[in-house]
Amino acid sequence: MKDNGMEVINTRVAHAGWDDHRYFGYSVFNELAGHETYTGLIGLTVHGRRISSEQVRILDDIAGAFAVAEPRIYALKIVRLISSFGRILPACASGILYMEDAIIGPWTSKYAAENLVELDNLIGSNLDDNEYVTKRTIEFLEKKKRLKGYGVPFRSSDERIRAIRKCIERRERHTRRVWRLFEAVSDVLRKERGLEPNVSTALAAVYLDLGFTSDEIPVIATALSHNLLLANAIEEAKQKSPALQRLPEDSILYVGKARRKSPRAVAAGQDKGS
Amino acid sequence: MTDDGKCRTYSGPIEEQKWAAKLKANVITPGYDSCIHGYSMNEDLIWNYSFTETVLLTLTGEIPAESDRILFETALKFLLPVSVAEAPVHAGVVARLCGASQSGVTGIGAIGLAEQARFIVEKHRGLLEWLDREDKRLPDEYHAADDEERRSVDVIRNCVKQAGLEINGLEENPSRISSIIMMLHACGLRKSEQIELSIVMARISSITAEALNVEPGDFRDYPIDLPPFRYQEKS
Repeated sequence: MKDNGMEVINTRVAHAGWDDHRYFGYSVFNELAGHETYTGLIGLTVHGRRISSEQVRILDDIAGAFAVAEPRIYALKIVRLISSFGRILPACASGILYMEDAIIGPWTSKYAAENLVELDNLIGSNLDDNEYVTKRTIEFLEKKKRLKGYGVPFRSSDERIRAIRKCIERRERHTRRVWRLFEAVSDVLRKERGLEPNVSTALAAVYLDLGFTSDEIPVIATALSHNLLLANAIEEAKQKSPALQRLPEDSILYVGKARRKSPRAVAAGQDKGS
Repeated sequence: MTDDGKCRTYSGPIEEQKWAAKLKANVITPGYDSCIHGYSMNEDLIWNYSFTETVLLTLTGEIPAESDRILFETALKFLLPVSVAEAPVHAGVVARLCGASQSGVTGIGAIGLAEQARFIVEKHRGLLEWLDREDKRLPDEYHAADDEERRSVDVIRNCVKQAGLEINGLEENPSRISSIIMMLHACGLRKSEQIELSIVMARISSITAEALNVEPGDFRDYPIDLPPFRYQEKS
């Protein structure tokens, strides 16, 4: 369809009306306001349709288990550095900006989910056959060389997985297909290769069991971790720490090229300005 | 707080492991007498080299040849004008209209330009590979689309010729952006990251310049339905 010769852009997201607005097919004032939780709105936003209250509760559980807002962790360090100049939202934007396709952070759960989907296709209905799961998992690992979502830096295992496991056991979702696959594959990789899963694979398993796709998973994971960015941005925007704005010179180790003269300085035979 | 009013302390992997104590600097030394790749700003670069030469030095690690300076400067000039028709400037203008601070406008513009540059370079990955090999003719997808574009490439070609320089591929009917990428490649910027940065750097001033001419709050003057959107619900 064209409008004044210009292609019309179709949107399913929203429309602003006079007395009410529309959001993904729902009346904002009659069907969402007062009826939907914030997490439910995030689910609707990413998924394009409303999610159940059980799904909302699980997303809330995950957001809680994922709430590691330690300011020295890389993503949050970025937020602290930018908010040290006194503003909150540019810092949050920076924290989000680094995430897409980064090797740590929510985007790794996309690749972890893709791996789990592929493994699910390979293993099929043989999930209870240990020998079969081991064989297929090792073949998969050898084909991939490096498995995103496995490997835990600086500690022996990812404590967040223990927290997530507790949550999903409490909600009796540990018997779901992808979670079982995650546990089975992780057991194999731990035993055969000494590889521990990190939280991105556990998250991917939970999200896949909830019906989210590999593409939706990093987006919803990002949306549900905004509190981590905000917490650091709010605090640092108030503190405006001079050491974050500029590190003391003696904390920098210069490892670049040694001091030298440029060809033009050599030709001029002088060090001007000194 | 503990019962006796003291702050409770905790320990974790960051406290209990050994980490580097200093942050490494590879290019620029800190302090007022900065060196870039070993060349002093105060004693050398400020007196002997232009801004674009200094940028090229920063990006490549070496003092550029005069021909590299000409190519880089010419490429940046051709890249600079980016009109409000293009998303990064449009976004900057809307931000200003809404009363965003200058840092907001610059930040939005910079993100827009960085994304635009990533998009351009991604589409021209094959061109960069071709420039590294040049073993066959320029792939069709990097050719100029029409006579208007070809005329604009003629200007670029004339600039290069007038400077007494030659660039491989420039005679193969490249698109305008392809010919600019060829210039950047010829002056030593071979990595896609360097090309992306050059695009952003060249264009950032266009955004603020255009945005500063917008009156914050003048919403009636902004064509809100351009381009046109239509909301559709799944039945």
